[in-house]
Amino acid sequence: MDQTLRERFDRELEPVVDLAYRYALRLTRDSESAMDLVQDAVVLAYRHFENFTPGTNFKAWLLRILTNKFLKDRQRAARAVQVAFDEVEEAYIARKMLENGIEEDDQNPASVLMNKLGVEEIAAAIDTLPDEFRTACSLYFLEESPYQEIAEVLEVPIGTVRSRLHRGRRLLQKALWELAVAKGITINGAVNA
Amino acid sequence: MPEMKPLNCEEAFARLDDFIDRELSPVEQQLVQEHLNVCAHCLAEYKFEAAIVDGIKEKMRKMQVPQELSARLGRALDSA
Ligand SMILES: [Zn+2]
Repeated sequence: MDQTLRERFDRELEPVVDLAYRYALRLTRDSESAMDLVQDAVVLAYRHFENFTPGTNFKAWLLRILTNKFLKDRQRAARAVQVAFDEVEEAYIARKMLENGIEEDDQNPASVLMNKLGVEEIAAAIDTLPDEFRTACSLYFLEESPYQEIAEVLEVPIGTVRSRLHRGRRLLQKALWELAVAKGITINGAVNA
Repeated sequence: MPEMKPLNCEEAFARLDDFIDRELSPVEQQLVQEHLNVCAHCLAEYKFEAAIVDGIKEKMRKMQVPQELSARLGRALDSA
């Protein structure tokens, strides 16, 4: 039995639609805009579905369309201002915990911290990242995509993905630490400052 | 035949992100693993960094998806 184009499209879309939304949410930082972006990307993908080779990576293809749409809209809105950011040293949270006398208890202090930070705080920390780090980090944390697949989505070399992820993670650790301090979160009996 | 010279702490630490992400070559992945087997300090660093990555992944995947999304996409595709 022959499937219609729409049936084939729906079948490809269904398993990746939640991921597409969560990714769009981190790009746009807003639920309504995220739904708009997913809708635009999905409609674009459907219109070009004949160009999609069955059996290849639909997820990467859709996310690439979504990313390009997002970046194009940003440029048009003239908001693609490069945000200045400082380099952050590696293992930022580990260093800060050491400085604050937070010691390994029977529990890993990093796990304790992460358990005390909610979904909203993680989102807020990701949202502080400049576009190029936010795209790569969101794809990585949402999907555990291999660097190669992230490179395909973002259309950049794999080395660029690696450096964006590594730097993005440092920036993210700093943002998470600052949120924890602002919230007065304590870890293994010690207080952050 | 790649040379299997053991890594020192600095070399192991420099590969930690890639190790966590399983992006090293099999040989390098094994070299880092062997260092972690014998170095309590780097093992603690690894567990610390991995816990942060795992914590972020877990929370990111809990972000609520609005129920109306799929109906909305269905309508958009109907008129596309
Ligand atoms: Zn070591």
